[in-house]
Amino acid sequence: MARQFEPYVLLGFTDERVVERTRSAVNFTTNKIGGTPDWHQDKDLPLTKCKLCGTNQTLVVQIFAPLDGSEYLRTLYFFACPQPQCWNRPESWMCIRQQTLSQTKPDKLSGAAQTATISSTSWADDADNWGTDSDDDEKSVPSVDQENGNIIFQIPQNAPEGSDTDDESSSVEELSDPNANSGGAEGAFAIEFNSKCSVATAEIETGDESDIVSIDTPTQPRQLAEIFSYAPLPPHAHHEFACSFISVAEEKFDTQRGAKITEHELSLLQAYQQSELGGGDVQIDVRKMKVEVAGGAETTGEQYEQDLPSHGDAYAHRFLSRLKQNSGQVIRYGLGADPMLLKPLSKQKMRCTHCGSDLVFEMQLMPPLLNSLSLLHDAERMDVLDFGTVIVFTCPSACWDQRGFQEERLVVQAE
Amino acid sequence: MADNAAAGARGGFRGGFGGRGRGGRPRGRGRGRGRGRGKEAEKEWVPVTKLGRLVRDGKIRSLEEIYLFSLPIKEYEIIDFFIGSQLKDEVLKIMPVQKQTRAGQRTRFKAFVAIGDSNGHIGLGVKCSKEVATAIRGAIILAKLSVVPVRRGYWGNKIGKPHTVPCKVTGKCGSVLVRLIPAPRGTGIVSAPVPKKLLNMAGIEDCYTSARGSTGTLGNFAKATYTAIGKTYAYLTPDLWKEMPLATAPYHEYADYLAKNHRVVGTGLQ
Repeated sequence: MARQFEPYVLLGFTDERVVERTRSAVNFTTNKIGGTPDWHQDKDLPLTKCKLCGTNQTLVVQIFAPLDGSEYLRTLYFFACPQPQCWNRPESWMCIRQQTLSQTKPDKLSGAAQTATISSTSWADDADNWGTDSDDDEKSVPSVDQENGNIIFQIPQNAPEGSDTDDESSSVEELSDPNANSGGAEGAFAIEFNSKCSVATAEIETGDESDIVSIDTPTQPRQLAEIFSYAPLPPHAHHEFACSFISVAEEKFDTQRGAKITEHELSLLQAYQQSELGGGDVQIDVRKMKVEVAGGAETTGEQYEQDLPSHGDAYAHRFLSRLKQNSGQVIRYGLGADPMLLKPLSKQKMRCTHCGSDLVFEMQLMPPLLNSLSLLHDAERMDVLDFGTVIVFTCPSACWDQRGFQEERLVVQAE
Repeated sequence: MADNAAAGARGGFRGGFGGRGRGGRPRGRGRGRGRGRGKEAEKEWVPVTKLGRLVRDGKIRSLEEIYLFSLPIKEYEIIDFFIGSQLKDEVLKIMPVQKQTRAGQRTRFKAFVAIGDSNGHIGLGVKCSKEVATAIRGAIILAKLSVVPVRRGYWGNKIGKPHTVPCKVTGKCGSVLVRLIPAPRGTGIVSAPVPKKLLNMAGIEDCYTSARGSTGTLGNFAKATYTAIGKTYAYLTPDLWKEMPLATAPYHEYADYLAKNHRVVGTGLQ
C-alpha cells in the first residue's frame, strides 16, 4: 500500500510547547502550531476574518518552507475560524504566504559554516582580543558547537556599517552568548536579516476596510446545531491556540516489518494447522519463522479480492492505513508529491491567480493535529476545530508582487 | 510526544521543511520520533477520526452506543478499546490465489480471519497480500472493523440467558445460502465446520443450520454466515412492536455526526 515512487515526503510531528524560555527562538522561520503569526519584518498584517461568519480567524499552523533554488525566505500561515458552524468548510480557512529576500545565497551559507569549522580550533586565539580591532572579521568567526552537532556561526561582533540602532546591536549580542537557546541556522538568518536593512518592502492594502462595516453576526445555526454541545465562541474576541513547536522527519514505511511474522500470528497459524480446516496446507518453520502455504486456486475457486472494509469508504481506509504507519503526524509536506485524499478531488486544473501557472501540491494538515490544538484561554474546551484534511496547492514559482502577502489555494476535506 | 528531558538541553534545530533536498534531515540524536519507531507495540493510540477522539476521551460509554446510532467505525482501535481484552481471533483459511498479469501469474495469499468475544460480537475479515503475515495482519484489522452485535433469543421458555438465534434468519453470498434456525437448549451447533466456528465466536450456543449452494467456496460460505448472524438485529420481532420514543442522543455530538454521515460515502467530488 506504500507507493515508493514519489519524491520523498517530510512529516511534521508535534514537539514541545513554547514556553517563556523558548519564546525568543520563535520567529518567522520557525515551524509551529498555534500562537500568533510571526510575520516577516514584524509588520502585523490585519487579522483575517472568516468569510462565513466574520469572526477573527486563528492561526493554526505556521510553516517555514523556502524553495530550492529560490532566494526567498518563504513562510506559510494557515488560519481557520474556530466557530463550530464553520468547521469543515473551505471558506472558513485561509492560507497566506509571505516571503522576503534572504541576504545570503543558500550555498554561501554552507560556505560560511565550513569556515567556521575550520576556524573552530582557533577560537582560543580570541581570548585576548577584547573587540577593539575592527579588521579581524574574516579570520576568526567564533563558532558554537551545539549539543546535537549543529555548528552555528556567529555574526562578528563588529556590527554592521549601516543602521546602528540600539535594538539591533543588542539583539546581535544576545545571540552571541553561547548559552542562548537560539534557533540554530534559522536564528542566524533572522539576525542577519535584522541587522541589514531589508530590501523587500511590503505595503498593506487598507483601501476597503473603511467602507465595510464588518460586524457580521454569526450565521443562523442549523436545526441540529441547536442541540449541539459545541457552544459558539464569542465572535469578537481574539482566540489563540496554545503554541507548540513542530519537529520534522522523513516519511518512512517499515517494509521490513511487513514480512516478519509476529508471535500472535504464529500462534494463529499453528492453531489453524491443527484445525480441521487447515490440514496439511500450511507448513510452519518455527525456527526460521517462515510459513509455506500450498493449495491452489483451481481447487477452491477463490479469486483475488479487493479488501473493502465494512464501512464502505475505500478512500478513508487507504488514508487511515497510510497515516497509521507513521502515526502522530500532523503535517505532511511533499512539494510535487501526491496528496493523501479522503475524497476524490475535482478534475479541474487549479491555476495561480497571479501568474496563471498550474498549482502544485505542497503540503497538507493531518487529523492528529486536532489532538494538539487547545485554546489558550480556555484549555478545558475539548473540541476547538474539526477537519479531515486540509490540502494546500501553491504556485510553483512562488510569484510575489510586493503586496506583502499572497493567498494560496486550499482544499478542505471532511472526514 | 514531547521529550521533556532533552528539551532543556538542545538549542532547537528541529528540522525544517522546504524544497527538495533542503533542510529536511533532522540532525542530532534521536528524539521522540526516532525513539518511537522501534517499539511498535507500546505506542499509544493517537485517534485520527472524530469518533476515535470521542472514544478516547471517554465520551462514549460502550460499543452499543455506537451501534445504536449506526456510526461508521473507521479505526479498529475503537473496538480494541471497548472489547479488546475479550476478543479472540482465528484464522479460517489461508490459500494462495493467482492473479493473471501481462507478465504471467502472480501469486498472493488470501487470509480469512474471524474475530469474536463469544458474547454477542462477531467480525469477519478477508485480505489478500503478497506475504502471509501481512495478509493475516490486514485481515485481523478488517475483521475488527466489521464487528457487529449479535442478538440472541430463546427457542421456547424464556428461562435463563438467551442461547440461540431469536428467529430463522438467512444470509446469502454468491451462490451460498445459509439459514440459521433456533434450537432448544443443549443442542449445540449443528452445522459444517466453518459456520460452527463463527457461531461459536458469536456466542450462540444452540443452532440448527441449513446451507445451500457451492459451500466449497469458503469465502462465500463464511460471508453468508456472517451476514445471517448480523441480520439477527435487523429482524423486527413481535416483542419489539412496542412504540418507543425516539432516543435523544445522550451526547449531542452524535446528532452532528449523523448529519455529516450522509455525505461521507460515495458522494463524489470535492
